[in-house]
Amino acid sequence: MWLRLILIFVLGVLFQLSVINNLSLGPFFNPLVYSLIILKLPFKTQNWALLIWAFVLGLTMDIFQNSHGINAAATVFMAFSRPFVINLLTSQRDFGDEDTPSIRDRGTQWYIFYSLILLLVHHFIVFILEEWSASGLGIIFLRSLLSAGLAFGLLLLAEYLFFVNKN
Amino acid sequence: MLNLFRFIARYHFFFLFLLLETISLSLYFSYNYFPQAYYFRMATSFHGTVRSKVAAVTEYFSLKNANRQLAIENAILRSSGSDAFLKVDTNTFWYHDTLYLQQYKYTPARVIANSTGLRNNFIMIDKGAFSGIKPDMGVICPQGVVGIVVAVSEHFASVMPLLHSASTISVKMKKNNELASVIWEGGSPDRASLISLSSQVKINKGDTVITSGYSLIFPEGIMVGTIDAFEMNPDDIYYSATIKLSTPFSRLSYVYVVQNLFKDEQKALMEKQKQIVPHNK
Repeated sequence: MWLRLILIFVLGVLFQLSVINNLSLGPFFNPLVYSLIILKLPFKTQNWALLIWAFVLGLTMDIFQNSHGINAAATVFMAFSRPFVINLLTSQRDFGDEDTPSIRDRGTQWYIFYSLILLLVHHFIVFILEEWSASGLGIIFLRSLLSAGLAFGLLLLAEYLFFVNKN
Repeated sequence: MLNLFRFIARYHFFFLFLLLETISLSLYFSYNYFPQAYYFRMATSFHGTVRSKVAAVTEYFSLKNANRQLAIENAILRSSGSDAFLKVDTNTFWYHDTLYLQQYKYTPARVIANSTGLRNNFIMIDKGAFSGIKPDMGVICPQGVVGIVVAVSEHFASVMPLLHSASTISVKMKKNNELASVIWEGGSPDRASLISLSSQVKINKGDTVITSGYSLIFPEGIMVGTIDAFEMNPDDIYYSATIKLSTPFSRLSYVYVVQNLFKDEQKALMEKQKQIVPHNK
């Protein structure tokens, strides 16, 4: 279990740094897929552990991108909002110890809403801290919407490739 | 007291969130004032070691282009060196020439990490304090300006390129020496904005913009770009213009770090001037 989570963490960061960040898709498409680990932590994860995971993840990205706390602030906020999103979307909450948010366990529609909301939160905070004053809120929002959409597409692909058919 | 602990334990999720978010945001805000912070230097060193290993592999893909660039540059340098000229006078040139003191020193470096898609981009090069690189030195490439060194570790340096919200480069128009500044407002990595160019002068599309040499960082006359589009409001005293940058930021592989050997002297003079003539702030 631990091994798998650390693998997702490392692969997410590596994929973001070595592939996604080297693609030039123009100013509006800047997908951030490294946050996959926050989406995939088991339901039974303690809330404080969730925040620590997110903080370490964000700090790692900040070190590699020279972005000084931007990613850490965004991932911590994303982890903070995760329990609320789960509460919002799920009616019965008797999760098993090994249950993780996935299409296999919770269904496609649930997973789409869950990941899309959290990705949007994450992207929005990263972009608003990056821009700070340079351009209007409308542009930042459009940028987060398009980038989060693309990140969501990529993560959905990963979900179908790696997480659905594993028995 | 016990009640306080109980309260914190009950809402530990929220308090831990506040704590971590405060740490992150204080990193974010403090960076704007202390770019050479300890964290940054450590991060540069760690990041640099990993990235130089990655770059050692990916460099091969751009080797052909880099070679061609270097060959062109070599050709230009050869043709401007003293060997390329026929000596027609009988004067001798001393090695320690008293008329020509060297002002700028160039150190070649390799780009080992680079980004262009973010709002605040960063470049890392494989030369650091060991090779004499210090913060606030300029970085150029054969095609034009790149940026300014902001932090150095023993063997690496972080460069803030023009493609950063905190970058401003002092420039002038090549044809009439009119001063202006170049900033980058996000978006495409090959376009930047030309600001505070007086609307009194005439400009055309395609005019060349070069560094002014007034900032003590870049030598005068380094290519920045050409004017791509401009407009002027009748009641505005400045143009608003877009320039096409000559530096291919997305394909950087070799750069030069420029050291101004008279920088300290020039700075000291400016300090002295401020003491004698206090400027009204």
